[in-house]
Amino acid sequence: MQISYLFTTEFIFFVISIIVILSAIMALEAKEIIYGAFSLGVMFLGIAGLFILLDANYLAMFQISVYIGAVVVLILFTIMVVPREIWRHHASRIAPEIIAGTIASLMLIGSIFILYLLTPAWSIIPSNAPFDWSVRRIAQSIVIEYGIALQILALVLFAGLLGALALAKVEPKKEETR
Amino acid sequence: MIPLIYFLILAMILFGIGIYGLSVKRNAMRLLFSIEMLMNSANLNILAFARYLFVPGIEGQPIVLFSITIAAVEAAVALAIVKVVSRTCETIDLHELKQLKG
Repeated sequence: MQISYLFTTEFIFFVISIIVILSAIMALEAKEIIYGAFSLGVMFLGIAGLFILLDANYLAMFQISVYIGAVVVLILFTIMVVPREIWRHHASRIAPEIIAGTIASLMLIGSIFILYLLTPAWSIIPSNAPFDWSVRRIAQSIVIEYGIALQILALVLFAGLLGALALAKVEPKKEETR
Repeated sequence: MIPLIYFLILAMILFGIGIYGLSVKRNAMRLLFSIEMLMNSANLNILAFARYLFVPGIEGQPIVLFSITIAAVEAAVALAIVKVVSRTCETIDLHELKQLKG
């Protein structure tokens, strides 16, 4: 392998995609769920790297700050709060389920791949035409073109977080409230 | 340069892994992981198509931004449900959760 091949875009893409696929499998198959949570974080980092390869630097930053800063931390908090013996309860799995799930997902992948064989996507490469992917342009697009969606999204975020808080509230037991 | 199909195939494999987790796993937390994988592969697909347009632009990026936000809300609600279920039903095995009323 030539040394100049090491840092081409294809090589970086292959490395990141191998990391993403392996950590996604590890997140589902790790024995302890906390290793699964950390593998999920690695997968989010890999997806952020792919976003950078797609010229979406702001989205990569957003992905890291939301997924690793919020979602993975929330998952770790939940693993910490829930008692340990609850997580250990699922060691026995049934083999036919695994075989059926594998066959189902392979069939799904195969059918999508056959669809891809019929498309001209194999030869499409990105055009070199310059375009403005700065944060200013994204902010204009969000506020001006998608302003209503942004406000509805804020309401959805508020309602969802309020609902999560109301669900997770610890109600005092009746014996304790004498 | 990387052809479009590389990103599509990577998103496809990630989607397949997520479907596998959704159909096989019994732990509610693993199902949440699978749903996050599905959302990430969808985001990757949208962004790849937006970048490989004939006239490239940022049209895909606000949509992916909204999608990431929705995924965060969904994760918060799902984790709250996991916490409540683990407290009331003493298990989060989906095959043993048979009643909706806590």
